[in-house]
Amino acid sequence: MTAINAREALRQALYEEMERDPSIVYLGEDVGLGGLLDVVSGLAERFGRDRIIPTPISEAGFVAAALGMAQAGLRPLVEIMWADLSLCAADSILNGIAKLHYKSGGLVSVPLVITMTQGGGVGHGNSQSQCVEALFGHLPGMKIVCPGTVYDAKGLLKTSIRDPNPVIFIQPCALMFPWPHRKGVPLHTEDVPDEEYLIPLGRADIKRTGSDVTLACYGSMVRKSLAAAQELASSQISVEVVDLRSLIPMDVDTICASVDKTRRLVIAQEAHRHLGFGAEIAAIVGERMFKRLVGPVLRVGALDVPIPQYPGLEHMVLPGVESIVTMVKRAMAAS
Amino acid sequence: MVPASEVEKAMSGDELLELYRRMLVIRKFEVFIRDHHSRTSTEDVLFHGMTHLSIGQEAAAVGACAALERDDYIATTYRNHAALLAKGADPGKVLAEIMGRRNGYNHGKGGSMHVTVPEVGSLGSFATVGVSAAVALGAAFAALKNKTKRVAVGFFGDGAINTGIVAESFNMAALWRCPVIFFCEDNHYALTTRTRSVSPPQPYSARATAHGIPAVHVDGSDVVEVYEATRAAVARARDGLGPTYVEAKTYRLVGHMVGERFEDRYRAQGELDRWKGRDALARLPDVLQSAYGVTADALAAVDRAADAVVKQAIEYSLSSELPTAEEVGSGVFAPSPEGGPG
Repeated sequence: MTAINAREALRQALYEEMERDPSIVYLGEDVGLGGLLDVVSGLAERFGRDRIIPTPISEAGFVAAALGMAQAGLRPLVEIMWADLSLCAADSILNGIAKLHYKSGGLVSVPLVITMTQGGGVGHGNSQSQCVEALFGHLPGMKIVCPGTVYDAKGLLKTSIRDPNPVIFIQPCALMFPWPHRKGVPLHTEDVPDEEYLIPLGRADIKRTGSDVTLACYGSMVRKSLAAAQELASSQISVEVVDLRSLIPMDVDTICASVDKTRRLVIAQEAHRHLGFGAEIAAIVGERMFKRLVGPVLRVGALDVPIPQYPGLEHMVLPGVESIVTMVKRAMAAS
Repeated sequence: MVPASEVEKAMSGDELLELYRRMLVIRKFEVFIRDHHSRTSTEDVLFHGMTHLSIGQEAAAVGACAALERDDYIATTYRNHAALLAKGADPGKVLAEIMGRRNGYNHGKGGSMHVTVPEVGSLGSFATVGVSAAVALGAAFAALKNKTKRVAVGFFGDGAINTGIVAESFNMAALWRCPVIFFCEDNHYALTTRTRSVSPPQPYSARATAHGIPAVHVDGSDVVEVYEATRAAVARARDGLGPTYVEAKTYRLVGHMVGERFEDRYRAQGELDRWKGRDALARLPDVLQSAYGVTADALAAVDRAADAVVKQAIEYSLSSELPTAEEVGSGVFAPSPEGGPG
């Protein structure tokens, strides 16, 4: 085991996969010096400039180009710097990439990964702090993966690369940047096995077992949920933290099995509360588990306003550990 | 039409007759669709919904695709039937797809605007115009990287020339010297809007040449000229000299889509008749007879052969059932080796 941060974990995943499969190419804006977050640092030296490819600022174009590459013998990884910028490529993704397997009657598979760093907490303002998973999840055809830990980030990226389908791989800011985002705080590290491992898509992970409340979460909310669960334990509330890890496909069975045990559900997402995956999970659990629930399913999420840049205001809008603690206590009080 | 002496250098009478046959198949194929289509009824009609025909534009598609090998790539827009058939797609499977039948190439899940035929290098048909340029560029990039010597053609219309993604594609294709041909079928209209009326006065090709991409203008009603220009562009691409922009002036003799409400209201007076006079399928029989010595009997035989191809395609399509609810409700994702709940 070696302690590494998320940037190093993703770099290791890329290195291992590019070493294994020469058809993998990585393209994105400003990746020439290793990319904004150093994820491809040193990879061009190892794999060459024809596999680590800096693009012009042309999201719509290079994402659609990746669709052509994926049909012509390459496995492209496309980096979209900030998730918000993916909207420039929304047509290429949703009308182009997402539909091709279905609309071709299964004749064409599209093995490509679109990575993007998303979320707030680092002062990037209203158009570089948003969560896009619900936007891309609503229309069918994209798998959506969103790790919350260093270990998962590495294993899930490797599996995403090997998947025959197009995958949006979301890198939460809270994992990619120091959190809390203050001077002197180092990047979070975890012990990661030195030997290779893969994590299947569509399998949730119970990050902490508990008996009173199921806390379903993903991405940036995983470590916050674990911190909240720790705090709640001192109030004699036992929280089971279910990390979804992938949103499409979603491991509904694991969520439901946990709710069957705890009979209460809180969902934590960094995304805006309305029309998000939290709403979807609440609906699914309502459909499948209505009679097992002893109280309403509750959601934690960002206020439904654009994300402000000023740290004090941003903090008021984004959900944190305290938001989760409050909502879990409300779930307990409501039953 | 180029002078007969030059035409003779380009191809033999038999070769031109074959191109004529392909154009004729496409024409008859699409006339059948037009005549059995309804936008408003699903009762007793074979074709339904948004359907775009290339009647009048066949020479552009056939000339371009004649310059390609079967494993070269093409990416198309929603006006895709002509290019796919010209590239060698099976007419029966294309027609069945347009009818939404199970025996269609895509089991009826794509439909008219989205027919996808990988076996002839088709990378997909895209209803958002301009995307085809970028998808072709990507396949060309892969061909270059893998040294396969394949080329890719991105078909789009003059309407798409004003999209950002075409400009982005020009830039990247030039930057990476991709073996891609940007093939603009200029039929003069973006739906019912004259593209010239929403564009600056400079030629569309200036967008390509501004990126250092050589541009060629051809008469899109002249299948030989289209073929020659595309063949030269393909040769450049295979030689590692990068992209070419080919612009074929052409005209659709039918509405933007079948059942268009404005068909008589936006064309200039006399325009339709003038272009009917330039219709390659109306002119080619004379050219074949006068410049190539093809007999009337040979032309009649080609006509019958085209009829037979279309008849067979219709019979194949009509014999196919509709996909089941189970089939329609599945297949969003390819099976993953890792599995997991879906």
